[in-house]
Amino acid sequence: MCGDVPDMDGAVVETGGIHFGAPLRDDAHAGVRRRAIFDCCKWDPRVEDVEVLSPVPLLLSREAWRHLAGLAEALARETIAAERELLIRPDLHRHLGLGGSIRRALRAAAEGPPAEMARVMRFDFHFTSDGWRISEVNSDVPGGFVEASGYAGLVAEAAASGTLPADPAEALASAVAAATGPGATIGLVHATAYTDDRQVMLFLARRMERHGLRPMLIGPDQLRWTNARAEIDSDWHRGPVQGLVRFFPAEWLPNLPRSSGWRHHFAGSRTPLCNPATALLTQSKRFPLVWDRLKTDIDTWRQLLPQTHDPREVRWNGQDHWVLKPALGRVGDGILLAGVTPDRQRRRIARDARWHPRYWVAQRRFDSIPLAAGDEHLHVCLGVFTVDGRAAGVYGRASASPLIDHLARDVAVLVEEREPSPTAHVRPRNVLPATV
Amino acid sequence: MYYQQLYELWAPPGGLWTPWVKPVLFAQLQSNPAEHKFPGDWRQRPIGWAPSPADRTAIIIDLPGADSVLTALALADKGYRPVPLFNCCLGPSPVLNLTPVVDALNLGNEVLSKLAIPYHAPPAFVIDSRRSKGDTEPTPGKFDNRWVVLPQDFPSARFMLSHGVQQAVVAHHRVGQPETDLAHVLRRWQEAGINILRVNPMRDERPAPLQVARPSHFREMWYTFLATVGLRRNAAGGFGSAIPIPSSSDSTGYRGGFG
Repeated sequence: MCGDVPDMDGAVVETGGIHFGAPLRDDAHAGVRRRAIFDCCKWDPRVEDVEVLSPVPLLLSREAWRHLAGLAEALARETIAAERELLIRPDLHRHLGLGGSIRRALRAAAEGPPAEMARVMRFDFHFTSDGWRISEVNSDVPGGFVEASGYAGLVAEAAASGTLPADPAEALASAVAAATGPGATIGLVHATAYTDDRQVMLFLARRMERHGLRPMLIGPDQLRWTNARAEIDSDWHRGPVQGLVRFFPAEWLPNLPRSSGWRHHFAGSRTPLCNPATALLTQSKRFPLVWDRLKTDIDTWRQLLPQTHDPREVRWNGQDHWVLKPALGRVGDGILLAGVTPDRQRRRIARDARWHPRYWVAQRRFDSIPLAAGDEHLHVCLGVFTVDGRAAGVYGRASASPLIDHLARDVAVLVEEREPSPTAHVRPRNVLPATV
Repeated sequence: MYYQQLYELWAPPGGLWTPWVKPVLFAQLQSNPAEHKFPGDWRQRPIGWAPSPADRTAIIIDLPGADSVLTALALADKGYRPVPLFNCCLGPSPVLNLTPVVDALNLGNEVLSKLAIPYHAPPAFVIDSRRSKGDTEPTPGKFDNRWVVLPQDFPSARFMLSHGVQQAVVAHHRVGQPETDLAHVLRRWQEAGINILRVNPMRDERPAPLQVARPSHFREMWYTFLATVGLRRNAAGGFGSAIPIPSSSDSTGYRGGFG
């Protein structure tokens, strides 16, 4: 299952040191699944008829991991720099597909940005006929910790064919501990009624406890602010917090009652935030539309992200080589991909994009190359985490379809322990050199 | 370890319907098993309405709290495979009190361990009719643990039909249509050819045909988002203010799960 794959023309495409490994035995995988549920808070291993946890690990050569890590770190540097510049350029905010209340909150951030800690992002890489490309950054509330740290760690133990490239949950917990000090109370802010989010927060809470922190799981309406410092106000705990880790999308914050002080997530918080809501400036898929007006050097972004336009600038309708994406869409939802998106959804998306183009982008479609996994071929998406600018692990997903959505399978991404073969670690063509 | 074993009684390894059992509650349980209270006598639950398992009928038990689980145990004794689908969290000061549900699930240790349910037994999906309303007002200080069912929580109609399940009975206390979230599941099944019936177990009646009305936002790509927003909105304390989506207002909207 290792090695190169033929492309559409039958030519061999270099797979850049990435291939699927041998599947876990059924009994071993059943054990991993059980431990993922009970030890790692993986509470959603089934989606309709799809068993989400893949028994087949995805193996990276060490050089391939270094290469991806270097790209992600370069992207993180550029993203942070661009965010800082965008903060003081409110004239550009209206191009980002952000609502009025958010734009007003962001204007206040220019005067007094919130305190930050443990900045975490996830860049989604795809293996394409042009080498590695990215589809987006999750710079606001990236998920995948349970899978990239917990599940992948269990597979690494069971498969004995590789090791975790890095552990993003550990990196995040460590960064929060370093920023706040031992014994600090950390508010883990999320929509408590939603188990998909609760599992992420509980998993992170357990990691934080190992670092001597005191995590408190709370809803976003259970915060009060005094002198721009956050306090928890719930039936089970009242008191100050030394840091907030948010897993509640920033674009939802304006729906909270005024008493929740949601604007502090955008501006003025003296309690360190992970992440500040100003991350929306780069979370927006319309971020590329303002690149030409920035002084910030974003060369890595320019080379890795497919050409992106306002839908009004290109003729996307009926054209297979354009993908439509909502400005703040996530997990592949709301994406129009010709030949993949069902007709009914395609019509709905196309109508939305025509009526409200300022909340959409048209992006050049890339040619994702599926990799052999047993008797099937799977498209892969590698979500590379960075924490405080350092590469911190990989959330792997795979799908028989080029669209990686909620039905995609979670794949443990491991770094091969053995020395790569001479052909297995060649870099895909047309990609940037590694920076580490 | 006790609760892992309890989970495996409800979700036996290799079982046909095991993959759909929601592990959420089991994975959170840490209390002393001896502290569970007796939730009631499952043998007293009225199940005379239930078809013979040989009829290959799926059952959806949409009753309040422990009633649902106790009915499932009674149906297990009759030859059905109970499939708990509780997708909710435990926590302090909850809006939805899950203690009776947990106590009833714990009874599975006593009941299910003594049963030999056949591999091909038809499923009895177990949910809680209180799920979206809770037991108390979801005021901001409380832990909002209400939940909804989504089509992806259940097997597809194709899977059901491929295993000979051509009929499903909803057991609930409602008059007429099922809860809206459940209607999204049942309507899909109905359109795929599964015959849907309903019954109120508290009445001495036989299951009657149910034409599931097309719920709003049926099969729309934003449905999952909209369904969960209903809870998130309240979890966030913003009662009455809809979270907008791009097509409806000057806002950013949000589409689907996180990152």
